[in-house]
Amino acid sequence: MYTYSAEDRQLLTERVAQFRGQTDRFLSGELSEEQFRPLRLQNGLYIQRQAPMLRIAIPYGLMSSTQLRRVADITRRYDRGYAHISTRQNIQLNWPALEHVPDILRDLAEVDLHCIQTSGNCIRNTTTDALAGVAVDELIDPRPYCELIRQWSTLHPEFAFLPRKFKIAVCGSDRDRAAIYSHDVGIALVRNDDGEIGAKVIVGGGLGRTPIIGQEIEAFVPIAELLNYLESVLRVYNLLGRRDNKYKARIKILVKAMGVEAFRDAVHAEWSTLKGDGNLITAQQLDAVSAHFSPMPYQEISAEAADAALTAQTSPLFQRWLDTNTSAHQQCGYRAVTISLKTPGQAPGDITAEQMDALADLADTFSFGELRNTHEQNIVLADVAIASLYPLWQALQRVNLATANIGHLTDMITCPGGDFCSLANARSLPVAEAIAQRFDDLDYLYDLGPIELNISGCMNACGHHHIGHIGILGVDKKGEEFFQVSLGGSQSAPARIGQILGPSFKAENIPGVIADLLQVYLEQRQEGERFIDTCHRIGIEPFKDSVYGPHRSQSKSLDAAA
Amino acid sequence: MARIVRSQSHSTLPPEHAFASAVAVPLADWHAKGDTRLPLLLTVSDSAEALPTDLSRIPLIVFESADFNDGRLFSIGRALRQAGFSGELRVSGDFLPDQLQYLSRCGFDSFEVPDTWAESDIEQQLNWFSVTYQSTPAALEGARVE
Repeated sequence: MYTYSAEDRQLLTERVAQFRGQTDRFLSGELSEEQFRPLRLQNGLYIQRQAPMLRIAIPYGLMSSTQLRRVADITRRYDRGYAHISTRQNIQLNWPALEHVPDILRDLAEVDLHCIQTSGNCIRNTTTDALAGVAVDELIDPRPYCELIRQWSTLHPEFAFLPRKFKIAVCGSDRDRAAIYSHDVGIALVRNDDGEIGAKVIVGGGLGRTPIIGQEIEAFVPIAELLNYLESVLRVYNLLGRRDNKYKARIKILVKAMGVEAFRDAVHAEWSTLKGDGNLITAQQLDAVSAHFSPMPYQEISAEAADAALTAQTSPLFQRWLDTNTSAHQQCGYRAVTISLKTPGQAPGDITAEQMDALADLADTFSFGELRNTHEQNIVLADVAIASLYPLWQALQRVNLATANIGHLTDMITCPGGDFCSLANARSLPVAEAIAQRFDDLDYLYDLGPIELNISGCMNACGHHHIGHIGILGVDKKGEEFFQVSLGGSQSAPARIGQILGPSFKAENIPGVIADLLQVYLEQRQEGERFIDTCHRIGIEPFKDSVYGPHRSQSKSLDAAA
Repeated sequence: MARIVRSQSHSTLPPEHAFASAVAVPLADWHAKGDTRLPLLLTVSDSAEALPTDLSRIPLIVFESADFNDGRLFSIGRALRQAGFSGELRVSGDFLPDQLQYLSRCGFDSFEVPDTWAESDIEQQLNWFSVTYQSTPAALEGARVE
């Protein structure tokens, strides 16, 4: 992974000192709340319902065991002994005290971590495929490009006070695992006919109140020009994006208002002033950054030896975990392991300090000391030798991290919701827990096959409900919590916004409603057809009928609000 | 060197500060007067299309910021420099000391600040970060304060 240079560390030290000074000025009254707000937000600090929330940047989700151990340590010393993995591959602390934040930043900086630009109206953490560098369908390893974007976007003098937040995602694989069509800018790394690397650029995607699938603005930007191109997009947005209404301020609204062609023309006008100058990526720079992401020192393992190691283990539980939680690897004899943070009884994406320490140790023992946060709020050990899978699984069981549900219904994306977040209309965590309890029969889950269920506590859509195969959205109706259900959303191939099923439900009815939807699928699916494909083939009506129609199950009293 | 202009005390300024913000002319008036040597006053509501095509004889452009959260001036500063403006580029109005270094990196070389801002703090803010990741466009090299 990328290792910090002396200059990177110098910048971080200066940033920590800057924020300490800003906090002191706020606490002494020299800075007003209004003046301090953007400064603290650019350091990842929200003032929340219960306490401040501090979001630690994990650049493109990649971290070392040393860094994770430090986070565990910080949660014990300054927080309540757990952390939360966010949908943008960052780590959130829910209970730090404002006056401790400068010290937390100092402790983070000691292991090259920080909270720079994890919130506020600026360029946020760049996200990517959690299987970058190991996925078998990968065309181009996105990590060096993510790192170049990280550097370019960090403390960029022109873009620290944008109309609204700005999120960039990069993917380099056949299948999009980074949801690039749901970001302000999505980048697909591609090769042209001459084999040169470039970027297909998607612009104006986003979820929130106005979900929009991004549009392709450029089929091929030569990779040397990537940062100049991004700078041009950002400048057009910074100058022309709306600032009168924060709900209309994202780039998606601007692109829609201008039309993608006019937006492209404006970007090209800026690009013409920057081309070849500014932040041109030289071959030398690219080589230097890429060297940080060279393949791990893998052992040579034959396919026969790997097979033998696996067939030796006959535990059905292990086999199940192997099927659901591990994926194929570019290196023969290795697999990538996804550790589920979706265990009943624990909030989705939450991880305790003890679990963090355990995972850090397991990463050291089995996966070259590196870990990745996924945007589905799980953690990946990307480079595990097949013979190590069984001992790894046993160790994970001991810390309650061996839940075998990756890609299945209970592997839900869920925002922290009304229990923590001051924006939320409804508490998403109890709904997630009720779903986890109701659908704890693994045989049933496996029979259902892959299903993505996403829950957001409000229309800001931090739980990405719009692109869940099943999406659940918390809404407020006259002070009461209700949940709206949508169907058919998809984060990739092709990205789609789900359709709203109909009137919303009380929390206690949600597991029953989902059971009905699943029953329709089980009755109607064709051989080998996934839930999402059945949804798209038969449309929303049969599902509506099952939930709202005259034949709906009598036991379920639907308090559907009009 | 950065030029520090005190909002309340123009009279104490040395002679090279003759173009105080107060004499800068709003864009519409500037066009009406037809004298390209007049200092120009801009705000975020001035559209890019209405800007003078020839910036070379303007000695001073003052950008009046109404809200420190409105980051358009950073892009406008860079765009003016890239369009060839080499005169004094001043920011006045609402901005934070914490924004000084970003402003200077975006082409501003003159800052109209309240009397309450200490000289030493301004110097420190202007030079807070010794490390920057972004390369500076050639057009801004001459304008850089650092």
